Amino acid sequence: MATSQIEVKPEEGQRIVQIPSAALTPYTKAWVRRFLFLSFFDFMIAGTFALLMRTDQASAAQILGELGSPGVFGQLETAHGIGMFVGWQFPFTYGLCTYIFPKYMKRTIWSERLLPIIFYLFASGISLVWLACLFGFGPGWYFLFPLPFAGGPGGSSPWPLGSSIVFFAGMMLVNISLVIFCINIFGTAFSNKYNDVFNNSPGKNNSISAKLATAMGFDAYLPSRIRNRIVAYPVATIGAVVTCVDMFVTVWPFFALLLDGSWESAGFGSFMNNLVSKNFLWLNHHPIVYFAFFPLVGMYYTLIPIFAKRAFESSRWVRAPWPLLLIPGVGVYSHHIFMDTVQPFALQMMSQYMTMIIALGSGISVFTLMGLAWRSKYNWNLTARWIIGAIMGWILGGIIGTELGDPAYNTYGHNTYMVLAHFHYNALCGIVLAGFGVLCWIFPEITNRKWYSSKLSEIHFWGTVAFAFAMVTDFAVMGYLGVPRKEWSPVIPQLPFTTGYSPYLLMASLFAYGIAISQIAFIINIIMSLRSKPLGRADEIVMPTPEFVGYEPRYAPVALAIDSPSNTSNGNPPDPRGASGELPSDGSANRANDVPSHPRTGFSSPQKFETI
Amino acid sequence: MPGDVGFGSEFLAIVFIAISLGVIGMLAALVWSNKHASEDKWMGMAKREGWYTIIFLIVVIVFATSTLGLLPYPYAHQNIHPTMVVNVRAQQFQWCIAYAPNWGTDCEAIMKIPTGNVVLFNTSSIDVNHGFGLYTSTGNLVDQVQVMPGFYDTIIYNFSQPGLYYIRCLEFCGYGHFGMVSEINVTSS
Repeated sequence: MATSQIEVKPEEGQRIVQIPSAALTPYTKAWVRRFLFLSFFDFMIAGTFALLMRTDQASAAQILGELGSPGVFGQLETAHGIGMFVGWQFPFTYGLCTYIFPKYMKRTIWSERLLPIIFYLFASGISLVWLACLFGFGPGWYFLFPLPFAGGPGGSSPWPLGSSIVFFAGMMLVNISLVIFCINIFGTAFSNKYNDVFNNSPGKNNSISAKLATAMGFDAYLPSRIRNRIVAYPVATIGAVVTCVDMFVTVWPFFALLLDGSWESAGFGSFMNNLVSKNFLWLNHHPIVYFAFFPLVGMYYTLIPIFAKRAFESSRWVRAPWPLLLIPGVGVYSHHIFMDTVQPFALQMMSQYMTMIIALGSGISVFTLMGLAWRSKYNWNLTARWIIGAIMGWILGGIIGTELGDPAYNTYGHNTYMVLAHFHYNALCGIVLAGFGVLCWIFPEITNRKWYSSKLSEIHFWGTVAFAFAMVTDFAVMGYLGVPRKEWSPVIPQLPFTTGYSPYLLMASLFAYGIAISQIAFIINIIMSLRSKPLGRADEIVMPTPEFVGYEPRYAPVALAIDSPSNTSNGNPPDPRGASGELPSDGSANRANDVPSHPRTGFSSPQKFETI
Repeated sequence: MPGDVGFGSEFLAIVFIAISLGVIGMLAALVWSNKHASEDKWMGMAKREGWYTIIFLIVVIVFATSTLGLLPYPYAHQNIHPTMVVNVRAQQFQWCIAYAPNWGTDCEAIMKIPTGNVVLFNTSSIDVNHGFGLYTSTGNLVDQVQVMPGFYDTIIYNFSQPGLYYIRCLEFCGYGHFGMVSEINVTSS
């Protein structure tokens, strides 16, 4: 398939440069650090909850003693699920996106003053959520009305209604932080205040529709005469914009649900029926699983060319999957309601086919990324390995997801460990692995420190990958055996065949402990790294970036020229000081080579710019 | 319709295992390919991307469309007429399963169904969401439906094989959820 009719001259194309971005200010870096460290702190807490759940299930309440009860299991399951999907994922995405725009688009965040507001709103919200769980709230991380606030005859709600009010209040604060964050990202992506190539190229990006098209990948589908009037946004930013669009659209029905929940918890009547509340819940709770995933996929597209020392032949294929992720990212939601026969058939069919389309978008991305690495001189450094591991998790989770995304097969998998296997492959073996990889990559830049120990990094990597894939594969086996999820005790005497579940439950627990032990290496490494002395301003660490020369031509094949040495195996950038310990006097370290201005655009790269 | 065509979790497991082995093979091949790197400065497989996309699209659409005849919705099978109706009322934490037209009364401790009956289960809840999960005696999950207060969810199952079947709640409904079980005895008499 032809990619371009433009002839490429050898000196054109994509270069890997190490240039400090003036937009990545010390203030921005500080908030990136805070968001990322909060996210991994939450990860450790939520992971501990999971460890207790695994122990409980494996031992049928023997080991944990009084802690091992259905009530505590419900609290742990609620706290763990919310802790991971919200407590880890939200601040991680906030931090990653706050890094992506200044780093790859050279734009300061639209309003840096909103960053502390987002942080403290979120931290307050997640604290309230966990407080509610501590006081007994335990309907699960996804909560089907009326369980959170109502019970059966005699009022059998097992937790104080005050705890459900606290839970809903906490979730509202979290989602207010989300709305503010999304507005900040939209401002950064689309504001006219920036005096840069995306706003001021003559005859290009003249309209908001052009910017919207390129910010979400729709420009891949436009005819060339229109594409040539658009200056393409960096692919790392597309993931951020797409995820914010999905979340911003679906947060409003969720606010309605939270208000209804608070209202009912306070003893007043409901203003929505259970089917509507289920639809509103999943309309938000499905895109939530993509919140970190889409920006991370943007990072795969950004980093793999660096590791493979190659460029994509056509940025059209890089951009084409994004609309296939954006729209189905919301449209698939009804596949969580396949087992409700009262759900409108049109919504069921829409979701089934949207699930197939999102599988296609994922499939294109995986092919493009793996195809770039195929027969390349791939640098298998630590970050590269984390990312390849994450892509493997993505594929395996996608297989099960496609199976579950069909109503006929969903019958055999809904509410079993098959669902757990699906989202743990995508989440734990996908976005968490990628999250560690990205943290490994950007840690030196945002902290101006090097990682303390490559050995600890390796222990953390191999331990996490091995035990995570082992545990989740065990989940998959249990799913195919029909083991139900969210059960305090899947093994019960009334069902004789359930005794066969015990070995798998025990294995899952052992693997979970393996994951936990591997995190000790990470915790030691990050603490020791942070305690080390930061490098001076002159030695500021700048991670490599792939950049297009002059941003034109857009879809032509590009030849890659690497201006800087490839990354070292421990995730630290090469030391530009060399054997003498001094920086080169010609200023070539951390500077791109001088690039002649491009004959077609008149711009040289990198762009000098001013922000207003 | 579930229960008639034999598709179940075994088929899904085989598909998953096959593709997983392919993924492992792909990873091994990727590592091998890097030891035999080419000098191309751009993605050599780009020319195949279009064909790959078309094939992938055809596969997923065929997969989705081929299962339309197996949808678990009774209204999607107008040609199938149940020979028996069973009403299921769920509450925390027990099932009341009764022959129609009884609803919530004359609950059967163990429901008895003659072999060969196509049974329509008419389910609802009086408190919170439950999940009606139908297991064979060997632990195969053969059918399920959500049970929601204020609505009637229905499923059809063809009990072509005699034996003991179990009903287990598959939607977390509170702290007694794990013990919410009932039985169906399918006999030839």
